[in-house]
Amino acid sequence: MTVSTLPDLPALAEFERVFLPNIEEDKTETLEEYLKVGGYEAVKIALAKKPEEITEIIKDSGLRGRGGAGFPTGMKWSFLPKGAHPRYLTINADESEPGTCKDRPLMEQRPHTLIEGIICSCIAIESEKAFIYIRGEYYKSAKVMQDAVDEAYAAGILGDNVMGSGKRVDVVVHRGAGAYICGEETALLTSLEGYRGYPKLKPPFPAIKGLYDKPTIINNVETIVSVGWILKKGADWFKKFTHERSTGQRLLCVSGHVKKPGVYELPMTLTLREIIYDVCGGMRNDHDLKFIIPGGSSVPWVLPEHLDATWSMEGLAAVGSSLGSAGMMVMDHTVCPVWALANLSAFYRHESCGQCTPCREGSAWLQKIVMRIERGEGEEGDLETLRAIAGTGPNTGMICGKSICALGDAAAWPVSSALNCFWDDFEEHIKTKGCKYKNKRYWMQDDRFVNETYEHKPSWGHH
Amino acid sequence: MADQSVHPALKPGDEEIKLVINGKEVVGKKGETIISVAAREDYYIPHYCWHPALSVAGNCRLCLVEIHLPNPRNDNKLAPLPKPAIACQTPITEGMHVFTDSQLAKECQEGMMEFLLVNHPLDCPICDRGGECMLQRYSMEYGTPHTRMRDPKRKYLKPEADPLIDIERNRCIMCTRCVRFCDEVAGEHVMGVFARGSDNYIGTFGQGPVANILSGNVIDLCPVGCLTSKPFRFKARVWELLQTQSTSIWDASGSKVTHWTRNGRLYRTTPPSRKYHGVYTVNEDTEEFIDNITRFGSDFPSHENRWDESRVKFGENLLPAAFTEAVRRVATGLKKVADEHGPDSLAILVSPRSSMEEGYLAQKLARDVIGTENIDWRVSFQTAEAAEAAAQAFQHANGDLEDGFDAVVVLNGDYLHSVPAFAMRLKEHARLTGKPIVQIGHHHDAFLAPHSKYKFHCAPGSTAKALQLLSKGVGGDTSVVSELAKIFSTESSRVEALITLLKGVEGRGLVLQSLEDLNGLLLPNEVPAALAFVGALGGGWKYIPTLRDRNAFGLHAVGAQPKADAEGKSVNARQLADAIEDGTIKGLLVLGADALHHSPDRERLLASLGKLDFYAVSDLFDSDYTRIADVYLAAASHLEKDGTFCDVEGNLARLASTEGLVGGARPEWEMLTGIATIMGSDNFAYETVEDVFKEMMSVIAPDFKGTFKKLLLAGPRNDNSIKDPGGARTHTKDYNPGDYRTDGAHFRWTGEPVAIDDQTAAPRSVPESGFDGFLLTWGEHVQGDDYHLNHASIVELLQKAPYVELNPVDAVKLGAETGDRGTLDINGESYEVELKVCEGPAPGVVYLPAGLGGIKLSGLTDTQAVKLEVVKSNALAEAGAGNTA
Ligand SMILES: Cc1cc2nc3c(=O)[nH]c(=O)nc-3n(C[C@H](O)[C@H](O)[C@H](O)COP(=O)(O)O)c2cc1C
Ligand code: SF4
Ligand code: SF4
Ligand code: SF4
Ligand code: FES
Repeated sequence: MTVSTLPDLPALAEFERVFLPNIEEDKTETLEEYLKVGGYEAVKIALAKKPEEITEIIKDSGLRGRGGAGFPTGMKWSFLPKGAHPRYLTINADESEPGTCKDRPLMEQRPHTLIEGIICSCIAIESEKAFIYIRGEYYKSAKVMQDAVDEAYAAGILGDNVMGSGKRVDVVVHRGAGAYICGEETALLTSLEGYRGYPKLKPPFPAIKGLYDKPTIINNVETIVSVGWILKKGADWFKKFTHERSTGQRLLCVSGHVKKPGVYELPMTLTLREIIYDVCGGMRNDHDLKFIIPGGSSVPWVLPEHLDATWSMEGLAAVGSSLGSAGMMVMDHTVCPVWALANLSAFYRHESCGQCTPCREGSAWLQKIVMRIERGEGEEGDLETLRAIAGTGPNTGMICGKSICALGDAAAWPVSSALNCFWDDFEEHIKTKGCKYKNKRYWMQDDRFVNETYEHKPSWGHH
Repeated sequence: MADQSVHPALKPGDEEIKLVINGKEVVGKKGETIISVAAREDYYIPHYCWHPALSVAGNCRLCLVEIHLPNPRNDNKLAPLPKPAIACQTPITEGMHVFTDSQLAKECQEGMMEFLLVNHPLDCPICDRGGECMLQRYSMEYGTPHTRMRDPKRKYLKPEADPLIDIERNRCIMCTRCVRFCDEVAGEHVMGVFARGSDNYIGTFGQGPVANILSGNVIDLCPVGCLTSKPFRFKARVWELLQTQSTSIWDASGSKVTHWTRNGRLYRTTPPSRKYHGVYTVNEDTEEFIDNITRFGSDFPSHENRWDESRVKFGENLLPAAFTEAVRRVATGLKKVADEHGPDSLAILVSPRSSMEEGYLAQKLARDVIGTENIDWRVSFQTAEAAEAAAQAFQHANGDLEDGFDAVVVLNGDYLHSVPAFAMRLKEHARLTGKPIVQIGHHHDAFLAPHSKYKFHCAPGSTAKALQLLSKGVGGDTSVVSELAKIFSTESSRVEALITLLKGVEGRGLVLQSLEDLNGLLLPNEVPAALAFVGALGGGWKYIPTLRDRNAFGLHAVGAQPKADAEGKSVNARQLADAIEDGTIKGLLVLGADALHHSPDRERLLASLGKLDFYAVSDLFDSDYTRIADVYLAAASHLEKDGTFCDVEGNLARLASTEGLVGGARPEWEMLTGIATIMGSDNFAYETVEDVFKEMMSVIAPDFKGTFKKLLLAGPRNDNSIKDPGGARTHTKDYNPGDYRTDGAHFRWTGEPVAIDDQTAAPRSVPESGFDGFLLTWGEHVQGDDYHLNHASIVELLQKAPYVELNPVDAVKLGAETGDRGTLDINGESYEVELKVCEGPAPGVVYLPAGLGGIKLSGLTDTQAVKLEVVKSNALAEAGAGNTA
């Protein structure tokens, strides 16, 4: 996985890529290489400042979380109760949102930028211990991160005397066991504590009562990496490219039917059209665009009529969607939206932790109905039932706003937005008892679930 | 004086919060959740996962309510929250408006009900929960009449995990009440959620049983038909059964129960049913928890060996006889022996499960009619001295858990397996309030250990010395610290911290002493030491001795044992076998053959019975003890008679007859009345057991204000407001926990202050010579060999494999882990036992729960060295760590 180079767009003339500027020549995996390109300068800057000053700089930069919710990072930090110690920093590297693949190159190719960001953030929030929770399947990321952490300890960058300052910062690299839900911040904490990855009830929020019941800040990898760069280059540099309240650069992960899918570092000022047709070289085989899922699989779909929306948090909110985790999936006219939705619904059914009624039962029920329609066995009334379960938007229907965590909403949104966008396609499936789209690959998991009443024998456990 | 400004729902010092629920202004205290305030104000909010005795899980989402809050940025105008919130977790805030039945709230409730039924089999006709199912009830009240589900339902395999609890996963709603109960209350992580998402299911680890003395409670906690009682399965419909509020005859914690019967047969026993929505039911939010023996073992009266006709000996044969004839034979038999050999040649033995009335009449018969002190109920003790020490302990019992405690000192004992519900309540108080438990002695309670702030192990026999030194320590003598540190093998700083803690207790402190441990061999010096310790602590410190025998306190209170000054001169239970053998005792009346079976050397006692001139026994069964009697009196069982029991906390409870007498069986008070009258007394003119109760209370507790009737718990049979038990349901919470306290029926003793001299406190020497293993200590176990339990229908299903508790330090030495097997040599016999590694026994000590798996302890007179060898151990031990100590 690499970060792709950008075309020469006039709009990007002044834009400076920093996350992984020159992936081909720039070897920055080891500490030695990283120090050559100015590594750990940010730590020196941070050490020279008071914690509140760093938090102020981050607030000033307008940095918002890159994990999905887009919460202002500086503000999150300031929720920590004064004087309550110990407190922890936890890095969310569970990157499992379908379509999202940005934290992985960050960790695998420049692990030390993350450690640098961690140290700066720890100084800012006065924490002495950070945990990196890495998605179980990311074996290489975990290995590279662990090697880098070991290197940093050996060099006196981590440990009880960070770069000779007398400050202490410890970093623990922890591998998850492969569950999407463990990316949800409170589930991540329960998993880290060694329990089943169940999201917790909020409030209390983790900043008050988090890991081991201690105040805890959870941030995405990219968020923390950005912190280091902001300290190095200044808040004003970060704000140079800004659309409304979306400041700074982000890694955009484009997948699907474009000519050049990849991970692009971009400011949030381009339109979707510029991204698809200029940055990514247009649709494959110059097909027609059918729809875009712009922010990871959980967010509502966007139709071609909104191509002029700005790719920013506000710009996408204006067209009823969300920037989410910046995983953009682009679909051309060969894609059957019912089939696409069935895929997503299978994913959410499988990844629901099963704790709360609406998400556990709702995600499975949605999948059963969508799959049945897709198979050509849809019945009259199915679409109304889907609507009733999934609702028409935030906090409507039987799941949204009623579950413990946002996975419930995430399971419902694709359904409601698919119905909003492609009601006719769904109706046609039911009426014709079939599908006019060709070239489908059936790789969906758990087909047995809808085919028959099965004796429940999961392979992963005893019965 | 009560603070006038404080709302009735609050205590002084609580921070008051005003809010509005469904338009009504109400008051709560800071930190309360919406659901509890609403319940107090009679607004019922449906809930599955929330349970008053468990932590908040917030997973069923049935309690979602609409909330509007004043917006400070908009002139405090009310603004609705964007999402509904769960009432079981959301704390109340000032000015909050809660709507429990608004359009939004109703939509949420309907939605959740529809979701829960999407995969539910709805096989109510073959579901044991039918009729008391929260899913059925909520479907009617909060659900929609239709379903939109057209797809096949999820189906699980059915596991065979527990012999007593049936698991039918298809009906589970994943509320995790059962998991939380096991984790939090029963203290064992045995149940869990497996798999993920809508595939998830409830189960036990390794398919094992929910092996725990409290496990049966998950049956009542389960709101649906997933966890049901195997012994009760498919036997009856709950609405056809007659409910009788009564009390456990097993657990001296004084558990209240409801017996569910039909046609004279007991179908099940549960914690007391409560009036909920106009009907008495048990599985809504029952907070009383009972032990498995009480729950499953109470049906022994219907055993096939039941003899419900009295019998008298004709030649060699014991032939059925009329009750009056049998009573006459007993009276004349006893009189003949008394006339020939004097009154002191007669003895009366009373079962520790007898009611207070029975004990009262038995001692009245012995003292007033026969003229002897040879009456006793203390059959379980190893030595006569221990029995006397126990009597001394009872005389000072003055504590209870009613208002909790600020600190508790727990002396040697396996409280969970002796007084389960009491141990559970104690632990819950410590767990929920963080109040310290201090354990001192050679055997700690493993169940309390995880919640014990301080744990001090000492050698067997040193507890009394430790307590004596501690008494000095709390009196300000700092010179004892180093000696104590030595006894406890710990640092002085920890001893100092303990003394500071004990001295710092300003409110209520409790000292707990099990009279069970070692079957009381060490009690003769530990009891006075504990009493002196309580005295030294002074102030608000109280003392609770515990004993498994259900009515020990009641029988002690009515004087069913020799008077203190007669001890030694009279024949007590422990001396009985000797006294029969040497001819001192010629005639014996036994009330309840379990009294004989309960004796540590029952073989010898049984053999000696043949030597008696006259032996009469009242009992339920054809058994070794009854077949050889001269007269067998058919007794009414605990399900057939009324009476009063007293528990370890001094609370009275009513035993109530379910459906009256069976066959020719009669309650023992009638027998005793008859015997005494025929023997010539005119002081036994009782018409009913209530007459006995009145006289008894006027003697033992002249200040008692309650009545026999009032002791009975509210229940469907004495609740006049119930006309039609299946009828109208309202949303009123008509249950009041106070109903279940029997006001004024609370016993306290106040013994004279006790001082302990150095000689009594001196550490007892423990066997050393030839010592190559462990010191054995033992105590009674609720599931152990028991006369009544042996006649219960579930006796085969109980976990009765013998095990020993072993300290982790020793386990490491042996290379043993929990679950390994070992052999234990006692008295030249070798027994196979399972090893349980826990914080219970001190290093070098093994603790054996007596009565499991036929291990004989009868010859034991003191703690003794035993050899423990690990038979099947892990690789570590085999690799050479050695497998003996
Ligand atoms: C179901 C679910 C999955 C999530 N997965 C991730 C993830 O894989 N990585 C991530 O950074 N955030 C994930 N999040 C968002 C986190 O809960 C949290 O908002 C984020 O880690 C906060 O970091 P930030 O403020 O730096 O964005 C997920 C949220 C939900 C509800
Ligand atoms: S919403 Fe889904 S993932 Fe989140 S807690 Fe509920 S069941 Fe688990
Ligand atoms: S659990 Fe309740 S609703 Fe379900 S089958 Fe049993 S009685 Fe019927
Ligand atoms: S078995 Fe019963 S108590 Fe346990 S989770 Fe299922 S429904 Fe709840
Ligand atoms: S009772 Fe509140 S969520 Fe279950």
